[in-house]
Amino acid sequence: MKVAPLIHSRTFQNDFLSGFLVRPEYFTSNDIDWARQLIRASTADIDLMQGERYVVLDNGNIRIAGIVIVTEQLAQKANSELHHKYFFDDKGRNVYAFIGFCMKLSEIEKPINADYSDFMAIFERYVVPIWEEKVIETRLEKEEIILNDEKQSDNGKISEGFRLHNSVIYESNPDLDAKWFRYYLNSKKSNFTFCTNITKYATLKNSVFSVLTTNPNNIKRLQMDMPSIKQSEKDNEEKAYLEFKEKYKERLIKEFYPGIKQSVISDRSIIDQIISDNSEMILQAIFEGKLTETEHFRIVELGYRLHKAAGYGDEQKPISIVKK
Amino acid sequence: MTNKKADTIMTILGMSGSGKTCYLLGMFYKMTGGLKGYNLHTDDDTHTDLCHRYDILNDENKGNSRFPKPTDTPEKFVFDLQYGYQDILSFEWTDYPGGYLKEKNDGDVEGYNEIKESILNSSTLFICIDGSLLCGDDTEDKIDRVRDNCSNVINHFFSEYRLENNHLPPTAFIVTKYDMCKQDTDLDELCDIIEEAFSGFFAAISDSKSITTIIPVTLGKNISEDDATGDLKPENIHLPIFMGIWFALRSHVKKLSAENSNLSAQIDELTNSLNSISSTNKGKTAQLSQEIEEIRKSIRKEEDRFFPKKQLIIDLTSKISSLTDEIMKLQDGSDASKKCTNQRQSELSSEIKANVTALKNALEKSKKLFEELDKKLPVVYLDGEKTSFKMIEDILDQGV
Repeated sequence: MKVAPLIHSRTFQNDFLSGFLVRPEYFTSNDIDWARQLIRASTADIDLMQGERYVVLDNGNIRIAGIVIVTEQLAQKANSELHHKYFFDDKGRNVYAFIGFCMKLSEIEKPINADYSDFMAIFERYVVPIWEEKVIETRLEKEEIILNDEKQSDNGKISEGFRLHNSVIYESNPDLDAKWFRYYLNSKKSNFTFCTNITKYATLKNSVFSVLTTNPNNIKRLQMDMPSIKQSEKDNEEKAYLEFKEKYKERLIKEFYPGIKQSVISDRSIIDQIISDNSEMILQAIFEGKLTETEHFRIVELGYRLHKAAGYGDEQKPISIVKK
Repeated sequence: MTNKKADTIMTILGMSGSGKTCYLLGMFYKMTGGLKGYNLHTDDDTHTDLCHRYDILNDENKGNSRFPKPTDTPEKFVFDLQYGYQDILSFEWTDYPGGYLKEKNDGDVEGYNEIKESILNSSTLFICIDGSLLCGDDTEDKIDRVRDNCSNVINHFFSEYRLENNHLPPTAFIVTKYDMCKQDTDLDELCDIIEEAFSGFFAAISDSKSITTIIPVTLGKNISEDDATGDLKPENIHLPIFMGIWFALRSHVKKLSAENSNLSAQIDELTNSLNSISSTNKGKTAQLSQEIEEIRKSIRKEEDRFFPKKQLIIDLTSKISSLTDEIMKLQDGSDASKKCTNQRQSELSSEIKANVTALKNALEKSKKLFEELDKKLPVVYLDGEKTSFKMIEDILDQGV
């Protein structure tokens, strides 16, 4: 699959660019602001970070995946022989970077995989040529990186998480984090933000990510600090589901099937009927990532066509196509 | 970052790699250990994190990896400065990435506004100048390097700021990594370079009372040399913080003095208003007593008649009773006002007393800081003119 690069890194003489060092040419200003806020958050407390952090960000339209790592360590892990001058800035400090890629959700066909070598290849292809330039500007790139398909069949949930407000927190270690990364990289869910290996307790408590991994000690502290977490977790989950349901219904009616005229009551009522007939079961499945939005859209579209073909309109109650 | 609200804000600015984060770590380490009775205190998590980061900085085996990595995320810390383990003042220390100063044009307007807001609310500013820019023999070259790598960005930022606010908070130019340039420069040259490169800070503007100082600091002799294997031995690193706290305490003293003037005025106002109520009530009481006396006369007159009108006597007696009630009410009102006023006055007096204690406390502590600053601060400017810290104190005293 072809993806576009997204890199947040300084270069030898230049600071981090707020619009990224390299980003996909199709990024809107909203995409930039959204990604900047989260990628900056994923680089918090960088001096305390051991190893790397994996990041997957999904806003319902695009999915960003990448790694936050000290570039010298990335080169070691990827067995790269790149000259060490690319790992230190002009003050002699070790450089870290977010190195990743971006894909449009509508274009994802098969599960993909990305490892140290892929990230190193992105660094070498896009950062190395401009490393020593005196003045740099954001580079806009096309979808030219080819990533391999995911070959591992087991892509199920790895362990049970701990809920804190609107976030799920899992135990972190290098192996588990890599597995979680593959899981979320190919997740059928949308609208989530995932980051591994959060070290600092305060950062964890105030995190902007919806899925995180951290060390067991931090999880224990959270459990001790928040005895009433379970009730609030339940409340938050219900609230999140209700919000999701409303938004999803709106999207289904307004965005997915533009052929439907909003003013035609019969058309709206057909869609409403199809959604409400199957709502709880199907929406819950989408919420949990068991059914893709595309699959559901197809069901709705089919139902809509059948209703229309059967000549149902204002006076007639629409039938339900997909049974509970 | 801790959520505690600090008494004052201090902001450190400087280009990427100028040593802001190293300065923070060195300052934290030195001050946490305690210095002349002073020490820094923060919450457990921040303490652990900063200690860990200091340990990394202290590990000469790590080579260049011992130094903090260049970031693009601001960090905020809240510290309490203590004397004898008692809080003097808490301050928020914001460490902005060097790149933030350029963000207005590059895109992250929020970051740029955040830094502006922070400066606006800061009681003291610190500007880091990388000492490695001051190596060599040629003063002009050094000025150019400081311009190219620091003041060109910072000056633009502050000229805009000064236009909007017409003043700048007390500012310390911290020359970091001083060990690197110590052999190639001296205090006089340092002053010349900084005065030239940051001329806006040293311009005499009437009524601006712009206070600036220059403080060379080091984390340790030749720490960056030989693959960064030098020992970590911070020097002068406490002076900027002492200066920041001293100015914050002065502001605090000024605020307390203004508060006390305001409280005293409130007490006077209450006394006047009580006197006015008493005098009005007195007048009214006299008038009512007079009226009662007249009615009594009328009653006696009526009783002396051969056929007194009983109903009239009853009505007049009842009027006396209601007038007496009115007098009582006035009396009660006066008593209540007096009680209420006395209570409020006593509250205000207690506030004044507490403020005076806090003021004395702040003055005493600022005196201790002053002694250290007066002795150790190499150079201080007032509106661009070199002066002594004593002079600064005298001028600030005039405002208290």
